[in-house]
Amino acid sequence: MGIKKFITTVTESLGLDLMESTKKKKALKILIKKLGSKKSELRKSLKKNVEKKQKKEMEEEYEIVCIQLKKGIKILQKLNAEK
Amino acid sequence: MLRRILLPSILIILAYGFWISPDFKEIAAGVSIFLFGMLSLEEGFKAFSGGGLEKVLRKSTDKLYKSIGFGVLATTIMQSSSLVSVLTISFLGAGLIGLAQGIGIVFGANIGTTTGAWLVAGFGLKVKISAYAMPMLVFGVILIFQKSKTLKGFGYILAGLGFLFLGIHYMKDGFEAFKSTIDLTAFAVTGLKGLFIFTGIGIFATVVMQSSHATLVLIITALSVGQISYENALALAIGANVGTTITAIIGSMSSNIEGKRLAGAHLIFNLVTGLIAIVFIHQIMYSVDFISNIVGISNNDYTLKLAVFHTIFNTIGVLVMIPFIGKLVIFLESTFKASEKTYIGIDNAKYLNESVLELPSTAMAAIRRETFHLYENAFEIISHGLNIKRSNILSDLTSEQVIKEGYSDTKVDIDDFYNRKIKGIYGEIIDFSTRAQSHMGSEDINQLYKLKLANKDIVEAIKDTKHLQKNLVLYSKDPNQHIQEQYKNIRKDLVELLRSINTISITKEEEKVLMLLSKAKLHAQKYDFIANGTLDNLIRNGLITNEMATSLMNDSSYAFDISRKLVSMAEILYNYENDDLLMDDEEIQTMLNQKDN
Repeated sequence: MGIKKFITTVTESLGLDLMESTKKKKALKILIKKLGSKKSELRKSLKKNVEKKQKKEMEEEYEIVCIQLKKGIKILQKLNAEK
Repeated sequence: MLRRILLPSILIILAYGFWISPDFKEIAAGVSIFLFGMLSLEEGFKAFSGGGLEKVLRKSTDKLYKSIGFGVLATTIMQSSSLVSVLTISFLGAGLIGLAQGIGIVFGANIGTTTGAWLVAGFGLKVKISAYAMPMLVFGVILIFQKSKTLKGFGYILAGLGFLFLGIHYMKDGFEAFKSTIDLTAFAVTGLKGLFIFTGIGIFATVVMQSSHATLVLIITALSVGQISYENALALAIGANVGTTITAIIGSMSSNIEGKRLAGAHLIFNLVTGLIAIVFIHQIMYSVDFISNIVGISNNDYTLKLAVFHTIFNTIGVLVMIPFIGKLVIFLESTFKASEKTYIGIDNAKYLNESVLELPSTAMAAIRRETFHLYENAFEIISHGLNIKRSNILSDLTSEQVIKEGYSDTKVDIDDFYNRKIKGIYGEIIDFSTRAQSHMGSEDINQLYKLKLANKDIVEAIKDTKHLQKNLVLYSKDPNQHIQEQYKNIRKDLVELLRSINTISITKEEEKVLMLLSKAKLHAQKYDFIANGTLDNLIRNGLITNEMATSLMNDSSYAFDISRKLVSMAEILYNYENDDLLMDDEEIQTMLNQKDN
């Protein structure tokens, strides 16, 4: 076994290279979960009778959350595919 | 002068010693290899300092007992109280911890350093540790040549331990061989005289070697082969404890005032501890015998008894000093005051100091903190430039009320503010970043680049405020209500933005930060007065003059630039975990287009 291969094996077996991406994935999963609950919270609030200004603001927030959620899921899928 | 004479004198004495005694050469080589091992070990731990270590630091130093515990643990693992002290000074200098916490860590480090004596006396001298040294060195060196920072760090630690073991082996062999030619115990001095002489030798040896650990190992190995008397070894150990403060003092020289205070605390603590040990030497020796009997250390196992002594007097020192930490902090703060050499009103960098330059993550944390500092000053300048009181922005007043109550009746001199509160700090950040960069990996450099961009954004936002201020002051009092209204709106929107950034800075929830940043970015588009038809409407209906229209067009562009730069700065400073989720310009535009349709 060459030195390079030995190092790679040790790195892989200790999971040193995976540690970072696992950490990132975990943080992203938590964030996606939070964004998901924010989305459903906004959807529920939008169904209620609220002031026009407030409704406009909520609609804007809803739209932003949807975009962020879509982006987050896409990134997570990419990270999972990398594995 | 002394420094100039010291080095050649030491070299001459050593050369003479090598010439007359090959055994002395072996001992000296052992010490050198041991010290090289310490350096290698420090290099390895530096690779892991910052980042994770900072998080651990923040969580484990909020209470005194935790700070002490952290000091004990860190020194036990790293086997170097000097490294822990220097790191603590760096963290203190970078503003990551407070002085009381730093003192706690240093106290803990003193207890932690006693584990070294236990390891050498209990393990190092009883097992043939040189057998472990060779494979450690081979594996260590292979890992050092790897590109990965983590592997490199492990390599240095492994090689460091290997060299430490090898050094102890040579010292032990050297003393054993030395014994057959010269009996050093003939130079033993008993009584109080001996206590002072050998304490002095201990201080001198540690100052020269810059490591109390190395001195202690030397004492233990010499003691193990009976080359020094037990009493004199105790005095040497006391001296080593006092002498080690020199490393922290040297480390603090390039640090800021907080670092100097900590080095002062370290010196006071070790002097007091040393004094207690000298005054109560007989009582402590009695305690050593008592404890040794209880734990089963034989009466003539002087090396382990030395370890017991070392632990007892350091623990007593900590226990005696704990009640005085508050007073010590007050004393140090009044003794070491920040120099008054700067002109009144000129602000300088607070967190950038030379001692953190070699620690990439800590240097990054220092630059980040300094950028926050720069933004605090910029916040003041921008709000005053908009003729708004800072305190009102942070209050519960509505934005309408905030802009009503102006900061001053006259135009604020932004150039003067800039020269006093921005220019110096910005220059220092750029200079420090450039120097810190040479110790960083590609990922860190990328992060540093972003931080530099954030600083640039802050400075440019101030410059834009200066341009905006000219007409803002003029038209805010203009009899034409329409133009007055437009400038009022610009001020109101910028107040909202500054408020949002303030909320972002204190918000812990990431999803909230993301939302506020996206909204701020979206709302910045309001300033596109041509696209949203505001300007057309005002001109077509003859509500403002052509001159006013030109000014409004230019100033809306400045307001847009201020918003864009501040949002971009906030994106870098306050959201660095999941920055991929931030909305880009294209997405903002798509959202705006959808709204229009």
